[in-house]
Amino acid sequence: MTQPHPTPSPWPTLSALNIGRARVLGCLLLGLATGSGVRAAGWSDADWALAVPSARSTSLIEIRQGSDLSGRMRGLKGQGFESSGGDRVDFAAWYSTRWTDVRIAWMTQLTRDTGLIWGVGTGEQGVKYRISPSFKLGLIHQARLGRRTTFTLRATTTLGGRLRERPCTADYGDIGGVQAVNCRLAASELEPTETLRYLFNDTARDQRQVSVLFSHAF
Amino acid sequence: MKHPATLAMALCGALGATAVFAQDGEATIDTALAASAATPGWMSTEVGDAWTKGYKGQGVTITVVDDFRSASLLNGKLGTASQRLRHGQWTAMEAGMIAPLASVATQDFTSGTAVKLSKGLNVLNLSYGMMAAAGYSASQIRWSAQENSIITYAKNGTAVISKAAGNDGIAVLGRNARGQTDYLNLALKGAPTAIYVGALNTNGTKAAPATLASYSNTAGTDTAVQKQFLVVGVEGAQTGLYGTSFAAPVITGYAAVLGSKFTKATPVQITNQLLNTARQDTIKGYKVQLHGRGEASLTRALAPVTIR
Repeated sequence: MTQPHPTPSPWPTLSALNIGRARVLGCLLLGLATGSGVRAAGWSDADWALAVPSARSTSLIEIRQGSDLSGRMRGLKGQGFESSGGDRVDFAAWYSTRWTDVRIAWMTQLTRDTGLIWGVGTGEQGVKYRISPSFKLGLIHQARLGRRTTFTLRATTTLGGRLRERPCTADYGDIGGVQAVNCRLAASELEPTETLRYLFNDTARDQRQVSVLFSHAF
Repeated sequence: MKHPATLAMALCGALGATAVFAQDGEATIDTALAASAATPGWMSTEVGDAWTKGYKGQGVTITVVDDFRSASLLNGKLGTASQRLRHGQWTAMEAGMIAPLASVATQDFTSGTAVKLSKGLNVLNLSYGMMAAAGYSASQIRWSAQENSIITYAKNGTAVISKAAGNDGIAVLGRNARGQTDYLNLALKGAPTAIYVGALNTNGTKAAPATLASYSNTAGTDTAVQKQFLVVGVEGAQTGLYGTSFAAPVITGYAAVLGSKFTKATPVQITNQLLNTARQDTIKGYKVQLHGRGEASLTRALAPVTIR
């Protein structure tokens, strides 16, 4: 009885263990992971791995809680100022949230060399801010330049996910009356109307990304 | 009517220099030198962050009435380098450092001419006193056009007046060891935009409250004076400059900062905000007869009463 020979794999693939985990997570959380024919690989970053082109498959490639925008809001906890009467005004009440933005992304293999990246973000909000939900879309393409050399290009864009901050209403008493003001800058030296220019209205740092990876094993 | 003896000007700096007319022309201050320095250690920490942003004082005119002509120079250090300047140059520099974007005008206190006001908020810094034998009433004093204008502005509420309280260690309206009274202090009593400024030995905090500087005049028992009396830290050990002369410019600077934030506020509102937001918890053994309303707090003066 002949013993089967293991055949060398033409493409680097995910390790069986990682695939298993990804599948379990995908099924448990979203039930969308499908696919077969994803096998072990030598890549350290699962984002870059491609499935063996035996079937179109979708793999979970990212689950992340929080973002640079979430982190910015979290950083405001513990900050604040004193009112004119000496009472503490704490930012925590305005910039805390019960749900932190969760982002999930998948990669669906389109061809042997190319995959579609797609994902969603839940967004989050607090009393004085909101990060809107987001949708991620991108492509990944891998080219084999030699037996041990590969070139990978990845480009993604995210729609939505914008951070918008809401103003406060401050009563400055006789000297300034009641005015709309940036909550964080209400006690600064800036004119109240001037502080509104500094309300957060930003997209995440990774809103649009293009990555290039050149890899040579030796 | 008995006329008082000639009023003598007394600078409220520790060296008590007497004006001597040695040079023509007004002194000029290179506040750009101050603006380029890092936040000085003598400033209250409340001022520091805002100072580095340079957002303060725009649209406000500070007029420093002081010695800009005499040959008497003082050694001191407000920025990074020690300098030797006239009394008025120091007080103007100090006020300008706290409110870097304010326009700073200077007038020698021997000029006798009316102080001119500019458009927008005006803050006058008076780090000097008008001394004469005690015992006269304010109405018996014949003022020059300079002091007349200042007193009128204070009574009409058309400019904020920051007046050094004096360095005799007595009540602001009291009689000093030489039997003299500061009649400018007397004339400003009850004026809606006049603030007497005494000196603490350092900038106070809740954790480390300050005490009244030994030389500083106090509010005294007159309740009208108590209501318009503030104290601020004078870090003489750091600057080499002691005296309520260097307390008044702090209030001058604070008023300018407030005026640049609350651009529609009147001098009366600015004055009241500084008086109403003063702190007592940063002064050791606070007493209204010594410290008046308390230590001026720019942080609290800039902050809202409530916010939602």
